[in-house]
Amino acid sequence: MSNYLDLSLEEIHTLLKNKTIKPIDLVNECFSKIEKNKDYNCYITLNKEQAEAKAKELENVPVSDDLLFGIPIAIKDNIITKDLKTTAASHMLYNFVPIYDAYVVKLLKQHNMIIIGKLNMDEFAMGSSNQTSYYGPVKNPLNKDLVSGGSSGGSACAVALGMPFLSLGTDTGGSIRQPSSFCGVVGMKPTYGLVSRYGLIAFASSLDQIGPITRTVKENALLLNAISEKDSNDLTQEGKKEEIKITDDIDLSKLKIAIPKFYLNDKIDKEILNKFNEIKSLLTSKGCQIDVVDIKYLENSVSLYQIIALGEASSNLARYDGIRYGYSTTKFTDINDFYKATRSEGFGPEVKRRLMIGSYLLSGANAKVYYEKALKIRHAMIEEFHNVFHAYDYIIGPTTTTLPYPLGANNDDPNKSFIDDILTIPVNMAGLPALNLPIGYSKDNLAIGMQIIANRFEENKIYNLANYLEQALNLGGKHE
Amino acid sequence: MEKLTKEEVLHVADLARLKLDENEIEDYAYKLKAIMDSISLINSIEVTDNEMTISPSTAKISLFKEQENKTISKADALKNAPNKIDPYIYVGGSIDE
Repeated sequence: MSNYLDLSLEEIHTLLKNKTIKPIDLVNECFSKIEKNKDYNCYITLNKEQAEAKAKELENVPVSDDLLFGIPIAIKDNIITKDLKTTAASHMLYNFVPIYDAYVVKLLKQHNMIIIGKLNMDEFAMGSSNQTSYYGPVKNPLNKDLVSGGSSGGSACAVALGMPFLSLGTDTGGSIRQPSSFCGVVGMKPTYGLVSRYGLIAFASSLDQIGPITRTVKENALLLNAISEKDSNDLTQEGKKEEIKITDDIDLSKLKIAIPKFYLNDKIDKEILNKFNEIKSLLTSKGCQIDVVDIKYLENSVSLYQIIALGEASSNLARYDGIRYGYSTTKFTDINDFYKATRSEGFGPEVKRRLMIGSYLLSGANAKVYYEKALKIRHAMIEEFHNVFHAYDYIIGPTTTTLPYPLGANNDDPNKSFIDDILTIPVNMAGLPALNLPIGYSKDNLAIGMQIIANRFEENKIYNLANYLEQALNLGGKHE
Repeated sequence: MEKLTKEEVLHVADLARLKLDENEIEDYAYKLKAIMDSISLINSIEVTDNEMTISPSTAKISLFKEQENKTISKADALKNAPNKIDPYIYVGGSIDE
C-alpha cells in the first residue's frame, strides 16, 4: 500500500501537479486504510463508486493551484449529501437519501475534493462518546478499548488514522473539540454565522456550527476558508470577512491571554492540567501576558445547555413523523399512534430522553420558569465574554476535564454526556470560535488537547497562535 | 434514589409524541429526574439584567424577497416517502369512517 496520505498537503499537491500520482491513487489508498481499520467503526456509509468515478473524472481536469484539488475528504453523517445516504447515525433515517447537497458539500465539490464517505457520530449529534450511534461506537485511535469522544467521533478518529486526513464535523456543545481532543487532532468550532448551516440536520439551531477537523493547523485553516463562503440560504450566516492567513513569525510579546479560573478547577484531570500549565509557562516565557480571570456563569453551562439545546432539539426533531421520509412503523392503530410508534421505534434511548426533557421545558409555564431564565443567563454570559475580550486577545484552557474513558463506562449516568462538555459549552452559548489543539500525551499515551478561544470572527487570530504552538511542540499530525 | 412518578413520565412522553414500555418507564423515571435536578440548579442563579439572547447571530436578518423560485420535482419530493400512491404521499386517515 502507498503512503501518499502521510505526506503534507503541499507535497501531495506537487505530486498531483507533476502527474507522479493521480487522484485515484489517493482514493485507493484511503479505501485500503479504511478496510484495514474497519474495527474502529469510523464510517456509516462509504462512497466508493462515486469517489472512484470522481477521481477518474479529475484525470481530465488540469490540476489548479488549489491545494484541495483531488484531495479526499469525509463528512459527518448529519450533513446531507445528494444521492448519498445520510442517517445522522439514527434508525429514524436509516434509508434517507438526500435530494440536494448541504452548502458546505457543494463548496467542497467546487474545489474538486473527493467525498470518501459518511462518518459515524452520536445519534443526531446527541452524546459525547459516540456510544449513542445506532451503528455502534467509534473506538479511540490511540486505544481501542476507549471512547473516541463525540459527537463527531468518526470525523476525529478517521483523521487521526489518516483515512483521510481532512473531515467535517459539527459542534453544538463541544462535538468537534472534545473528540478532536480525545483523538489528538485539530478541530475548529467556527464563529456562529461563519459557515452556512444549510443542509445540516438541525439539533439546536442557535448553537450548531459545521467545522473542519484535520491533522494540522494550516490544513484546518485552508479547509475553513473553503467552507465559509456566504450562503443566501442561511439567514443567520454572514460568511467570511477575509481569507485566513497564517504567518510563521507571530509576535507573542504583545499578546494578552486570559485563563478563566473555572478552567483550572480541581475536577479537571491532573495530567491534563499539568500539560496545560506547560503551555502556559511556554507562552509566558515568550513574553505573553497571561492572567487568570473570573468569568461568571461558566460553572452553570451544563444546566444552561440542557435547557436551551434540548428545548430547541424537541422542536427540531418534531419533523420526524414517518410520513415524508425516514423510518415508518407498520404497527399502529390510528394516526396519533402511528406518529408515536414511528418515533419510539426510530429514535434511540438518549434521543428520546432529550426530547422528553425538551418538550417538557417548553410546555406551559415551564417556558418562563426554565427557558426564559436560561436565555437571560445566556445573555449575561455573553456580556462576561465581551468584557474579557475588551482587555484580552485570547481565552485559553483545557478542552476536556478527563482523558478518554473506557467504552461502556458511565452509561447509566444521564448527566455524564453533558458534564463531558462543561468546558466547551460556553463557547457555543456565546457563538464564539474555538479550536482544539493537541498539546501532548498522558503517561498512558492518550491525547491531551487545549482550547484557544477568540472573539467573534477572529478565527485568524486563533490559527496564528495555534500554528505557533503546533510548531513549538512539534506535534502537528504526529502520534507517538 | 429519587424518581419521577409513572404519570409524570407518561406525560412528558406524550408531549414528545413517544410511547414507552414498562421497562422504559421505570428507567426514564430515574434518568429524567436526574436531568431535571441538574436543570433546576438554574433557579438559584441570579441575573440582574432582564435581556435575553435567543441566538448569537449578528447577521442582519431580513425576509426572503417575494419571488418565484425553482422548487423540487415531484419525483424528488416522493423519493424518500415510505408510503406513496404516485403522485401523492400516503398519509393514514385521521377521522374514522
